[in-house]
Amino acid sequence: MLRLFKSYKNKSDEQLMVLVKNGDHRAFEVVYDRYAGRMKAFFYRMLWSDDTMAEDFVHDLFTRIIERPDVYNADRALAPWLFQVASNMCKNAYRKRQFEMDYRDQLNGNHVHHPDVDQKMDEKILKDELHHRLNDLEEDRRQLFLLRYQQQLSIKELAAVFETSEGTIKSRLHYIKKRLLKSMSADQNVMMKENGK
Amino acid sequence: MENKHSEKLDHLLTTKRYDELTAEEREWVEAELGGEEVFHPLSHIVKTAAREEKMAVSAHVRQSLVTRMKSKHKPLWVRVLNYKMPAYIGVLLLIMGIFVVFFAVPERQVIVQKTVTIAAEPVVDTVFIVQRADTVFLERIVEVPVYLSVHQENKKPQEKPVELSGQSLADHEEWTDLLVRMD
Repeated sequence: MLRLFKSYKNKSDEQLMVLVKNGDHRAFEVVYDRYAGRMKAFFYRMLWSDDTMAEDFVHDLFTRIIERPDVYNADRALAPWLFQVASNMCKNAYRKRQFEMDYRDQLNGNHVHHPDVDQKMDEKILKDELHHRLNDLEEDRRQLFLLRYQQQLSIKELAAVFETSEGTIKSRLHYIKKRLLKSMSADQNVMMKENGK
Repeated sequence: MENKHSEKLDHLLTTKRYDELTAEEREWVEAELGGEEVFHPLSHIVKTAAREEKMAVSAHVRQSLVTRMKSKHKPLWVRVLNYKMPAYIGVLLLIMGIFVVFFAVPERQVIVQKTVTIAAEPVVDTVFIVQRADTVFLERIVEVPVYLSVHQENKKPQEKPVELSGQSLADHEEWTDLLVRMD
């Protein structure tokens, strides 16, 4: 039994996914153990540092693998594919959130009182420096930043996730760093002004 | 900051502090980024992100997914055994099964052993046995001319055969031995 599990752990992601397609639940468990933590960390940062939402998204992502394993092409590396699916799920979440915010704005315009849960959440998040920096970035760039520096994906893998060339990825990363530097220098200026007062 | 050096810069940002950089690296970073005041905060953000590579996921999420996986890919016999149906359908199926076994399935063929006598004509054939002779009988006929001198007086030839009167059987045998030796 121990040897059986050991052999599963020695298999590559792609070999395990072939077994998952054939309904091997042990292979699925190994894939889950390899990626669930990483996926949660990614979702957590992408989805407004909401722990519950991040876990729900991890659950949804792996449910997709169970229900439709044929969507995964075994010729591709698993990690970029998983993060690509996760990125698309985040995009849908952003769209949904935007729709909800518009709806709330509309209700507020009609002078209907609603507890602003999102605002509370944002206040909590603003204390987190990393989130503060990521907030300065657009959704796509935030994804790219997290996949590169949080999930340590290579330039080649990122190119596969975003379906673009490696040159474009490098150029976007360069822009992100520039943006972060700009935002940091702006914050420093504000602090200096505050200290001067 | 040129994007062609992106990976090298990322490596330095994620692995080193500014004071850990070699003189050469420090010179390069200053040219690319602009010095410690830029390297330090950027490195801090990147390292913070890298520290969060993984987060613990609740055990119930795993349990729920594994249960789902197992239930989706149950073996056929488990699915058949766990198949839910009303009791009356089960009883009907049972009755149909019994009916099929007793009436629809043809009787089993039994093999009976019988002895049958067949009148077959005997086959007669000729067998030649070649056997070498082991005893050879040799027979020799010896013809010995016997000249007898007989005094014939002017008598008519006697028609009677010559009689060897006065010869005993012992004389006769001596004659015979003599004749054989002569041969």
